[in-house]
Amino acid sequence: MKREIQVSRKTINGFVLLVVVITLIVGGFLLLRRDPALLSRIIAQFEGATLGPTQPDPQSAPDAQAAVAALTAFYTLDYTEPVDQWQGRVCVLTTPNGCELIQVLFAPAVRQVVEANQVKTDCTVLALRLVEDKGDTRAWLLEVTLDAPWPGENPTTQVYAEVTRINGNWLLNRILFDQETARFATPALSTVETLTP
Amino acid sequence: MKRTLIFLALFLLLAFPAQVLAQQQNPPVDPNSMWGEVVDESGNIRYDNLTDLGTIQESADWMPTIPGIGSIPASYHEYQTPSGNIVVLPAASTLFFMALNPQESGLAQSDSQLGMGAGMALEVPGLIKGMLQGYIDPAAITSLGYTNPDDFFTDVVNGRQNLWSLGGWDMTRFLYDLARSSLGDNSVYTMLLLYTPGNCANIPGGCPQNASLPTSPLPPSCSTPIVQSGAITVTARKLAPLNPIVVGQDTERRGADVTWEVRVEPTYYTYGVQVPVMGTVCASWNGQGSSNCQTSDHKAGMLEQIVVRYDCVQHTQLFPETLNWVTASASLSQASRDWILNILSIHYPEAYLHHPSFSFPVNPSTGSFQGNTYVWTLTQNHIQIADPGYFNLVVAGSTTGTPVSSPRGFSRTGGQFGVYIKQIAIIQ
Repeated sequence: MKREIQVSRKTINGFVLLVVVITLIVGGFLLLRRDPALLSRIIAQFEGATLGPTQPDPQSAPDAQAAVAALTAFYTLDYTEPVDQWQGRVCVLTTPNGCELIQVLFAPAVRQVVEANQVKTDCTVLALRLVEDKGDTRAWLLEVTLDAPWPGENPTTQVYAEVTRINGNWLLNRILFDQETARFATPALSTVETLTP
Repeated sequence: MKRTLIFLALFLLLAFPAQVLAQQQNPPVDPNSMWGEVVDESGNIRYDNLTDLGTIQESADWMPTIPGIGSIPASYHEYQTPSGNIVVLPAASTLFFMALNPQESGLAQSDSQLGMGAGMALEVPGLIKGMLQGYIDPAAITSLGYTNPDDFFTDVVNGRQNLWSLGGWDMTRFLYDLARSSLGDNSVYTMLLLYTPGNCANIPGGCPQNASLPTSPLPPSCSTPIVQSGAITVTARKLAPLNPIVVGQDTERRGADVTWEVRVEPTYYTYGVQVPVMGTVCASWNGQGSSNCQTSDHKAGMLEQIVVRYDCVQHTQLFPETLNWVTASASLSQASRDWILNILSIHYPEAYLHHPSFSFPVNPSTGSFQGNTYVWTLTQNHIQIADPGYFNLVVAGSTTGTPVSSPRGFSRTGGQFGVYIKQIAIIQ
């Protein structure tokens, strides 16, 4: 004897939904067990996408290309080249303030390294992403690869550079110091401690 | 335009040091102090009295790092005084990063500091704040939860805040102006740091190779040398108000103003020096000239001056001593603690000790010399105290030592002050 069981469409839909939800929960649980940092990365990416500046194309954005050109001049080093000449090459691609910084703060350090290691290298610079946009002043993250790094030096370095628009032209303002680039690091989840009096 | 005005103001402040302020004293410089041979009474550097040791540039890990290159070099001009002390003049940019890293840079280890120009702060947070004046946006500090910007700069120096991460300020313009103040021959020096020969190793970049340091400070002695270490005296007292009350009843949050003082007397080194005593004797006549005496064996002789003996004459040399580190504190006395927990708790059930100890780590270099005595003082205003009772005012620290004595640690109670609680009693 055949008995017909009637199941409503609503019940079927509910059952399917329940299976999907359980599958997602179990799958998510297994994924998190395998890679506990996954959730942090997803949230960090989400926050970065929400808070970060709109990303122009690094290959065509004039500000990015100005940073690329200036960093290429800066990291193309030759111990036989007089330091004035190196400064001159860099300064045509920097703001007047940036040139002064190059001469006073940066040049002594560069000269010290170049002379001590007899550095002679070309470089390739690639703009990676815009990290700060204040209108006429922007900061870019770039990757500098030295053709002939000196002993102890990594061939590839990440560099943050600030560019400024003057009379319609983008010029390098300065290379950011390592100590000040922490604020551009991708945000990550951290434990929040609550202090009670 | 605004930028030009700010730079002009900074330049005027830095470039025309009207007077030198030693430890913010008035009159500016004690001519009998160790600064007396560095600056005159009008506040001008006595270059003619100093030996120029030249400009020193060194890599320093506390200076900012250029990616892929390394740290920018720290730059100083160094001089030596006739008495052998080394005076270090950091370039403006170097001074700023020294202030951000006072321990690592050696700023905190100098024996004494001298500010150039009116209003030049010697305390590190104040120095950073002063140099950033006009560049930093106060709103950026407020947004971090600081109602008092001074607290922010104190946290920067103590490593609890990262100045570099602070948004809302024009770093490029600041560095640019700083760089202009540090340019070669036009370099503007706003602070002088002094290191005694015994403290030479703590000079940024190391002890200058061309400095002529006393190789043997101790002369040979014909008697047992006596080293008499200078007394270390600590005094402390409450300045105001007359009767401080606990913070809960102090509606105006007046708190208490307290001062601590440490005096380190010089160390005396007493030693003996052999002094020849001459005498006249009749020596054998050598045939030249004419004989003028008769020797003990009745032969012709000549009178001669010779050393007949050596006397041991005592001399005393004096070695001033400064502080290497120092911490001031106020701590509720044990009797007051017992009183709160055992007596006061009868009237106020569950009375407990809220904040019975305060500690104030401070810069030992902010002292100065009065004659040969090093005097260090600290004043803390508006200390908010929650516990009633008597607070012991203590200073702990260590001296730098001298060429004849080792550094000495100390912890002394310099005084006591009371904090009151208003109690209501029913009179029957």
